[in-house]
Amino acid sequence: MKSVCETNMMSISGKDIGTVALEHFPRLIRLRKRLLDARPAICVERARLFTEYFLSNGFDKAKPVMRQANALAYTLDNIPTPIFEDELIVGSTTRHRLGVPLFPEFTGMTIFPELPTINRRDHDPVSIEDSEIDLLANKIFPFWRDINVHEYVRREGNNPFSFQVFERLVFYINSKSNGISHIIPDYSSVVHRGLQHIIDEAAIHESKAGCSDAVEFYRAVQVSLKAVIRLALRYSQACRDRASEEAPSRRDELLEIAAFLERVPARPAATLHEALQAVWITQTALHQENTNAALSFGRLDQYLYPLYKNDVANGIIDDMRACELIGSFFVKMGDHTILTPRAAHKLLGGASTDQAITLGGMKPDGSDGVNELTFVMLKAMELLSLREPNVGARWHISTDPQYMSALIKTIHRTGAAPALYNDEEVTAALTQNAVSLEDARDYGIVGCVETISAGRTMGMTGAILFNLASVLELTLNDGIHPQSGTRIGPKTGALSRFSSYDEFIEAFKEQLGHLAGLAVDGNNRFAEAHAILHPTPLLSSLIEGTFASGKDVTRGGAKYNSSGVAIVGLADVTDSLSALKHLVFSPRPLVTPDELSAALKNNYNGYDRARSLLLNKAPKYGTDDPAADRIAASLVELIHGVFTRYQNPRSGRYHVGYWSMTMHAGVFAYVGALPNGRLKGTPLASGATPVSGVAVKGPTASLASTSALNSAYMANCIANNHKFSRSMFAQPGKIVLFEKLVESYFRMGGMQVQFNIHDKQTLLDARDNPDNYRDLLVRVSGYSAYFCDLSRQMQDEIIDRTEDVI
Amino acid sequence: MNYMKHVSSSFASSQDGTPSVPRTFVGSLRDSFLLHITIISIALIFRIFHLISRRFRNATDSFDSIYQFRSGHSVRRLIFSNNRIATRSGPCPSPDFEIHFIDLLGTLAYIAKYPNDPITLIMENKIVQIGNLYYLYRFGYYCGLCESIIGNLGHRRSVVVGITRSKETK
Repeated sequence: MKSVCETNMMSISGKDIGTVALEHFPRLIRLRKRLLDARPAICVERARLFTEYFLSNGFDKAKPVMRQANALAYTLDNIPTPIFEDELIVGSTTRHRLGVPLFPEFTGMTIFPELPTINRRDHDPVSIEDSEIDLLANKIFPFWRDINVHEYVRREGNNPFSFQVFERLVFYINSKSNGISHIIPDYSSVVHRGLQHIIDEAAIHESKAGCSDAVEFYRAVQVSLKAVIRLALRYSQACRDRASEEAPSRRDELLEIAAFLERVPARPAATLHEALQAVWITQTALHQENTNAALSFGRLDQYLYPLYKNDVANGIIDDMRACELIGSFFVKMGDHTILTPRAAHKLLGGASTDQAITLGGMKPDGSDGVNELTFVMLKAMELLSLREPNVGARWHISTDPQYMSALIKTIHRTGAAPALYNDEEVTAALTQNAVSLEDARDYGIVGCVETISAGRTMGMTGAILFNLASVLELTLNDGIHPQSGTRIGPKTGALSRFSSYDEFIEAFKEQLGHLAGLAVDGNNRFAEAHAILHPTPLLSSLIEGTFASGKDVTRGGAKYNSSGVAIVGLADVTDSLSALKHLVFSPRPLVTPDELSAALKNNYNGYDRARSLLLNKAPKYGTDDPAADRIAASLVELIHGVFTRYQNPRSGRYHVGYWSMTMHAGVFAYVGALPNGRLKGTPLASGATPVSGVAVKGPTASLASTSALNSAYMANCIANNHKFSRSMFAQPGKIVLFEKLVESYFRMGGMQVQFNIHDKQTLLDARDNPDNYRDLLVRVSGYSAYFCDLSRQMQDEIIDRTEDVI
Repeated sequence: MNYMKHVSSSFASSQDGTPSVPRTFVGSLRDSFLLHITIISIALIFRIFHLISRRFRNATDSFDSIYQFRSGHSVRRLIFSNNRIATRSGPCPSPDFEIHFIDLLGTLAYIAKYPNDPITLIMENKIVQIGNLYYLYRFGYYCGLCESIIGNLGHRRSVVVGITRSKETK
């Protein structure tokens, strides 16, 4: 069998990489179709088993880590083990092909009101049986009434103000209410050491541990990991049982998988197939312990490469088979989805579970990590074009030009993925935030776009979603939230009272500091609640640092302990401040503070002249105008400074980033009219991207503005969204120009960039005829999503994004 | 904490700014009337479903709690106690859950369309809540059950009509 090792990186088993098509993989076609056709169904098994365990054994407050380990073990020992047709990688997050697990201890209860009608709701209908609804309503949810983390924070903090502000949702969101997520387990250890090795290591630590908390932790780790091994053995038996009913070819496959599962994940994987199986079965176990959000795989092409290389050298697989295995693994990643109440459709409509994988980039020693498996994975991702996994590809100055070319072609073909990251900038941002150089180079993408040192960071990168436009709105209204008439911030004076831009900025800083303080207070309270109510021993066993410290990750056991902040509304606030500086508080104002105040109150109704001036006369972020870029850069520095004043309860820093998922078009868009001419309720700009329609000088100027932001202040990374029309690429040479544009952006210091390559007409047609575009993949402001699953607002925001021309 | 020095400890009672819908005497009177009528109607509807639906009975029986609803100075309670559903005027010192209507008309318009979507009411600043959200969600669940039962009745009727029509066609 021929491999890319023997030919070159642009081929798969001797076929030109461009000519390998999905038609070469009938199994992948079938798996993909079944996944896309599946209607999501709520699976209550995980919630039922956890509840059952605690009802029988009590909710032991004295030994929380062991309590959680025992409950998890009970769940893993009893959870169904379905085997679906054609699978090469078995293990299922739920009992359904496309299931929705429930986490009543986190935000699972938000779906409670909709359960009776969720089968037929207009957005994202989800199947559930009446008996399951009754079980949830009459047994499961009542049990968790007082011991879910949300209620714990409210009750123990005597309904703290930070919590009340969070519950309004428009100012900031404390995502930890939704559980521990946005993390990369050390899957390299699962593959290369095996769980039994980790169990043995925990036992040694236990025998040497000095304090009872550490002893409890090491024991809990062993209980959890042993349960994962038993789960694998149950799946092995399920494969054997199923094999007896199957035709010979499928029977052999299932028996082979059954044999794998008797070895992995207990012992080190011997082949690529075993390794993928070990990783996936562990992932499904982790999803019983923690919410299914952004549990990411890290540098898959790096830690699987030795096994791939070995398999190829021994003639066990060729690249076509590797592609099929990887493709099967990618399809499995989509076997579960998140549950969102109707209200959250605006918030998270169409959201994936954000399981990210990272391709390419530097190795810890600084050399290039791109290998043949990187290309195979890129190809599998392109062929499937599914929203999972969320693929992030790393670039650095010495990146192989063939790899860069392949990335650009893949983006063009999929129209959305992968997102691209600049190693130099990301590594610099992490090292300036207390991560060692080697660990920083070993970063992985987690969730949407965030970057953390893989396998050693308890990062909770989406811990705080923060609406910067709300800060501006509070500054404009003396600290009062105009929609509810409620005082949120300090009294800093009404707009008409400010006599200069500097005075206004001082007020803005005060409001920012105040709201950031509230958001941090809320997050820290949730973090403390997790340490008490929901330690996570299985996840902890796969994060570096916990064995040395003898602590669960919720208690600061990881090597790195940051918390992530995602700022939404950077461009709108930059343009608004620019308008205030240059048009309102200028020596010869074109709009007076009183006029602006009245215009904002009236959502610019009757103030067309003022709006026109604000929209057109002030310098804008995204036009490479130094006046606006300076404001954006100073904002980024200011926000970094504000959040780095605080520590989380694990003594970690707050890392600030600029990405927005769908928040900019969802709940955060509930802010009123802004001084940049934006109308009330219309979408804010996504991520770190300029306001739509503003970047009229083209993509080079727009990218120059974004690259002027100091990456050191953006350790939680950015989402820089750009859109091209597909038909533009029909012109010769455009793909090469596209590649040059990206390289130039990175050489200028750009940190991250992602693209949508679709014709406007296609998007409009998809909006109106969703059945014809079920698998149309788009990039939101972070993750990839199926366009038709998005809320109408989010669809329109993507359609209206500035269309770049090169 | 010093960054909280400017704000009151209670979100619901800190409306020292200008509400989006200024309250007039007539407006207050109207809202007070609507509040009482709405809660009495909800209690009545729940009692009817308690009578006719075993599923609704199973969900409400053994659930004891007091919901308190406020609009301006008007207060009305909805009480689940001893397998009965009742409503009373006036406040009680320790309700399990309290809802302040900021925009009562808007709330009514929304729940007429989506009776079991309380989170949107919070997001759109139509209500402010105090208490364990479990109670709000459970209340929404009861509304959802009613909607579902009505929907099923409608579905059954349409099945009957469908059969009748098909017979007529034959």
